[in-house]
Amino acid sequence: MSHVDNPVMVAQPASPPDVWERLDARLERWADHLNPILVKETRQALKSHQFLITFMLLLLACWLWSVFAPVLLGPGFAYASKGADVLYGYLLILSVPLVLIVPFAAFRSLAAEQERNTYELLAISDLSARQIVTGKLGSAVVQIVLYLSAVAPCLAFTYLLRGIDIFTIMLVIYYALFGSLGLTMIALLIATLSTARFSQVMLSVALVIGLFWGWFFAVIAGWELTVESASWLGQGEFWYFNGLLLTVYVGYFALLLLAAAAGLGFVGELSSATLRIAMLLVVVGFTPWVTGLWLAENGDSDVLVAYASLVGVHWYVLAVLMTGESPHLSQRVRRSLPTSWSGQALFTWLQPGPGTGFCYAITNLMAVALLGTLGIGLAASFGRTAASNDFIEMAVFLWLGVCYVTIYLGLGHLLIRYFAQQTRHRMLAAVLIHGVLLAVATIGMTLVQLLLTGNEDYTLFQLPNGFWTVSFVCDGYDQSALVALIVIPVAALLTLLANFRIIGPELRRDPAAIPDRVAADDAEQHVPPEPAPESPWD
Amino acid sequence: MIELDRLHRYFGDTKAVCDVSFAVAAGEVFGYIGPNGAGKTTSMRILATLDLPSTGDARVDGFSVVDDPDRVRRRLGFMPDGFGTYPHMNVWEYLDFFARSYGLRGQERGRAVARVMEFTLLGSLRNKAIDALSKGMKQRLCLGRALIHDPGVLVLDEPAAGLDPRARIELREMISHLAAAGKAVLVSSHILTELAEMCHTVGILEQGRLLAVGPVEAIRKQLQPEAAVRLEVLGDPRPVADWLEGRDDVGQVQVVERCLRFQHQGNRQAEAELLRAMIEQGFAVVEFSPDRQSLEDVFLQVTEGRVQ
Repeated sequence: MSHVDNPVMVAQPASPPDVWERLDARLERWADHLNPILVKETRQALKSHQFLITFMLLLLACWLWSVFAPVLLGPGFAYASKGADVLYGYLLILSVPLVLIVPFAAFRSLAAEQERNTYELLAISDLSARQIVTGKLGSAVVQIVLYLSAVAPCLAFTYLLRGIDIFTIMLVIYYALFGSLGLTMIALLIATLSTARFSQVMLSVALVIGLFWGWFFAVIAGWELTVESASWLGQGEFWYFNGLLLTVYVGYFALLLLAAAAGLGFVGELSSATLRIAMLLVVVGFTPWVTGLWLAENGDSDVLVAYASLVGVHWYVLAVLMTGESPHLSQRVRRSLPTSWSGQALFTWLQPGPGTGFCYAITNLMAVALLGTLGIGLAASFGRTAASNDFIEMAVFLWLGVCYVTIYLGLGHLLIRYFAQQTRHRMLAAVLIHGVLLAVATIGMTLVQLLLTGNEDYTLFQLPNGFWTVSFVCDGYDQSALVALIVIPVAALLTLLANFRIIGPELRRDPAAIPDRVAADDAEQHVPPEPAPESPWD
Repeated sequence: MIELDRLHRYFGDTKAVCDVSFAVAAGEVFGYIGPNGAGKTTSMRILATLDLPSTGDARVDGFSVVDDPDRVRRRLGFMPDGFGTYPHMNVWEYLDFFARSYGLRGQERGRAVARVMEFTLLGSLRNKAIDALSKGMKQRLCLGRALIHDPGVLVLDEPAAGLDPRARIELREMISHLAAAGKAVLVSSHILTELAEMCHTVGILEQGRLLAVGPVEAIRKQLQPEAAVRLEVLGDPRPVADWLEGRDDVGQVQVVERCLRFQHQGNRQAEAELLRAMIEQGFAVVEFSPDRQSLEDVFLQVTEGRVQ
């Protein structure tokens, strides 16, 4: 009988929400601020068979190891130092979801957006490409945390055993978390490289092979970590190495994230500025660590050679990709170009385009060479013996290296301009052209010399071979070295001049005017708030 | 609301879209007709900011898809040919996700999802898994997704493909409601009778070129300036045909079984007089009706051999 039929029954006032309802409402409000992709991915992941099966298998494997480890490790389990062995067992179990499953699931998640035609629906929403990538990454973090939480009681259990300390356990968790996250980021970047079905299949095969190698490495490194790390605690080098590693990790992680977002973004979007700043910040973050090491090693030139080589490779690889960018700027991007002279001078290098990318990389390399030269000079003047002994040699190494990178990149850039102007796959063409150029200059010239002269020593045939020439010139001086010291800088200068001829229009891009419709829309969206009443009569 | 201005899109040597221009006003349903590979989807993808034109431009509410894709996206709902749905998700979660993706927060999001579910009649399927939905229901869900941010412009690529007659009728009604609410709707379909009933204007596309554009009636008149009449008589139609051929205001008399088809010059009054004359002649006329071309006839006539 309803309350309408019974005149005695009256409608009850709605009861106030209980604690759970209030908590639910509050969580709902908080969830409003979360990345929509994270919310969606988490909802999907927690319902997927893949996650449930992996999670259950992980729990089962941990449980089995907890039961059988004492049996397998023998009767001394209770009093011998077996904690590291038990921890390593848990680490092996954990490594499967963290190194193999989470990164591959992230790759599939992004690749599936293309296959299911859902990526286009995301692309036309308000979500930015960066939000899409960070959302996928966030979902991977949630899964990593859940897997770690599932294993956490087992890891805590190992602390009760002999032969293991809390530092080692923390270090294992730290490396597992960051390792898995790094691999996930790489997997997401790979997923953005191609949208073609065949390429996706090839990329997924390559990724699986790569992840298995990563897992193999994790298995070996994990053993070192669980057995040796207790002795590393008091060593300064260990903390230095971890600080350096973390700095480089954060820098490249940000760079990969931005690159993945740029790979997903709409054609003509201004994603290059943040990418180029991130490229610079990686080097800037890396430099203080190397400087500290270099000073600690009394200005040892080996440190500087290693640093300059790594920075050279960093800028060369990134410049190869930048010279594959399209010089086209959409009107929308041109509207945001700086108008002042100082703004143009500072920010032109951050705009997309092969010419600006080439200039940006070379300028950065020159800055590193200049700072390196000044650093050695200062160190030598302050009596760092190693620096004063190697000053000339290091200066030659730095500047000759810059000249070679300028020549390789400059010639590659010219070839791209003339041969790959119209291709739809500019980036691929750029990588191929630079790759062939480098191969011809190094391996090719070595082979030519061997075939023509049979001479295995350095000759002037090797002038295009930067690696051999730089090491030869730095090792000592003779007539060939003198020729290299004259010819290579002149060739670099000529390459720069030839490039500046075609870069000109890219540097002189005029800002576009804002259309009336856009200005009106901006004004509509930014209506100033009504003035607050100043008195009760207003 | 929608303007295509000399739009071109080339893929290598293939001209997918070639010099296409038309406009769709608010409250108008524009039917985009063409065979497979005519360039409909390509031009719709350009409008949806998923591709860039080789030359020319398209504007939505005055904003260029090339220069201001973000502003276009906020004003446009796009329903692609494929469904674009996610596994392990129910109807409410799907709509809630896209509402979040369009920046809707809190109660505003809840209201938007409820409004769309009510409009697409998906309320009773709120917790149903998307994978378990029928094709018609999935199509409604995708329309709901395109409407979640209440856009002023809708671009629907083959929304009626594969739907049963009932689902098609429902979809047609929904599109008519949307147009009545002031939205500009661009819809492509292979089912021309479907489009004829719901579109105010059509554009006929073949091999990337727009061959005809305008209201169906106007195109029909352009193709068929004289009124065609269909006539059915009892008995042998040949004497009627002979009699008609003797008149100055009648031409192209064709006998098809027991029926006749002919062109008549004159207005409706003249048609009435012609009918009276036939009856006075003693012909047993059982049907006398204007023989209008269907949209399919118009389409076939427009596209036949015009573009090589």
